[in-house]
Amino acid sequence: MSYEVTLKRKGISFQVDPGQRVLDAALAQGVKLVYACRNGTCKTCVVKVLEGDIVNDPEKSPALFPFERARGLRLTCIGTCEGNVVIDR
Amino acid sequence: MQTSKLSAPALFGVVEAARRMKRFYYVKRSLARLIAGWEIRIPLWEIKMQLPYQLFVDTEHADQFRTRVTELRYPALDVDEDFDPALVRFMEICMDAPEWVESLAAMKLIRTEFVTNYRDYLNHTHPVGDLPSIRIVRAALAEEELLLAQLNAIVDTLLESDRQMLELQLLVLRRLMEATGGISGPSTDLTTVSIMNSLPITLVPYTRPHLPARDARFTSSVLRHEDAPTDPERLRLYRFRTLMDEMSAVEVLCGCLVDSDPTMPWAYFRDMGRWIWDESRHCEMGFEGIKSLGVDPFASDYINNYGSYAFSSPLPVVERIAVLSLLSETATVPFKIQCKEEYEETGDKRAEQMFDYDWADEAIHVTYGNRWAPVLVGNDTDLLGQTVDAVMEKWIAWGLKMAEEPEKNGTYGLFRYFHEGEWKL
Repeated sequence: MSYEVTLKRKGISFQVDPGQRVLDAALAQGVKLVYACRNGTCKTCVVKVLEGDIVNDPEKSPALFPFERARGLRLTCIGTCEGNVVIDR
Repeated sequence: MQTSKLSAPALFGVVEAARRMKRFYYVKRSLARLIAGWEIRIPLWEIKMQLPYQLFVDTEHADQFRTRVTELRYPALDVDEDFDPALVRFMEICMDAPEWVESLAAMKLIRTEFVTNYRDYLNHTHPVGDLPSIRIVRAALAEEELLLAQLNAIVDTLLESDRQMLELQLLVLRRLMEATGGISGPSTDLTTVSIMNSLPITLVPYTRPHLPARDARFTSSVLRHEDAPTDPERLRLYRFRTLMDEMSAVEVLCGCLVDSDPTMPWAYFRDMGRWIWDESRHCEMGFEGIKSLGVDPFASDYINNYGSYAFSSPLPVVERIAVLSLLSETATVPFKIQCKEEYEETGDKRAEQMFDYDWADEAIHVTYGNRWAPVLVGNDTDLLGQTVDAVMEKWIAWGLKMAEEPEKNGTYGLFRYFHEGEWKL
């Protein structure tokens, strides 16, 4: 079983396996998402979640401030899915 | 006749080792600030591209000395305080140089003194007990000699009249340095400071300029941003120019370093040193890239960009860092990736690698912004959110205003990108 991540503005989707990082899944399927550090510190890969959620463990992504979390921002490089997700991309 | 162990010269004990290490640390961190301040005011491009490396190495040395002080039973809370007042006054005098040539004299004197003081330290400390210091000082000595050679080579390129001014300043600074007891001391008191203040020297309190100094060889002095051209050859030149433009980031960060509260955690200044150096390397890659195309980097109508500095100069440090790191560097990562991938496809390895390294560095810099911007607002992340939003609005408005006069200011495509909401999260 896998989940579907949809980039709303681009109108494309890709599949993410449970436990798989969203960025890794995107790149493996040829979907270009912007990234840099790949360890949750630089926030280059930040996206806004419109529906569903990308799971970001606050312990592993201390770079994301509370106000950013409250705005629905998540990091794809360390984020996983527990359901289908729509992001503002 | 054998020398009695009791009559052998005393080696540095823990207290003396800590005292000297702390002085090394203070002078190194102050030297980094001196370079940052004058980097903005030095016009000659080749010097501007080289000094950030010196600044970076100084912050690295300062960091190692500071760490070593704390290993020598020195109270951790006092490491960043209670520096020798005469040494403090000496570094203030160096900062208050009348002009940039005299600032180079200060840098040259301090490096020369460090070489002597490091050797003295290695000759007089305990060869086994203080080996952790020896290891640090040996490495610092080797690097210091290289930095001094680089600085001497810079001085050799100056006009004869500038070299004479520099030599004159060296003489005066040397006398002042002697009055302080040199980098290693002994530690002094306020009487020494009053003696130093009585020595005849021209001082001009340092002021950070609203616009950075620019090399007279540039054919244009206007603020320029430009939309990317479509012609592949012009596009390659344009992209190298965007790298060369990163001198503006060097200058923004140098201004931040100079203006920052000195009680900020030391690690902040260490990170700034690395950040400044990285930006200067990007500039140098662009400079060399342009030359590799057979184009004179100075003969251009839009590479003389200092827009980032001009905009952010009057802002509080946190807003400058927010603009540079949290907004522009984050936003330009897709551009770096695009450049890297396109050159990869066309087989232009040299250009590909330039943008690949640039991309990797940007990740570090955004991390620095994320690390230090909250600290600069007292770890109030709600306030940080408001600050980022507010400065972004100011930044976009400034860019769009500049674009109203494209002949003078360029087209500022980057600001339209922000304004049109692609970035807005």
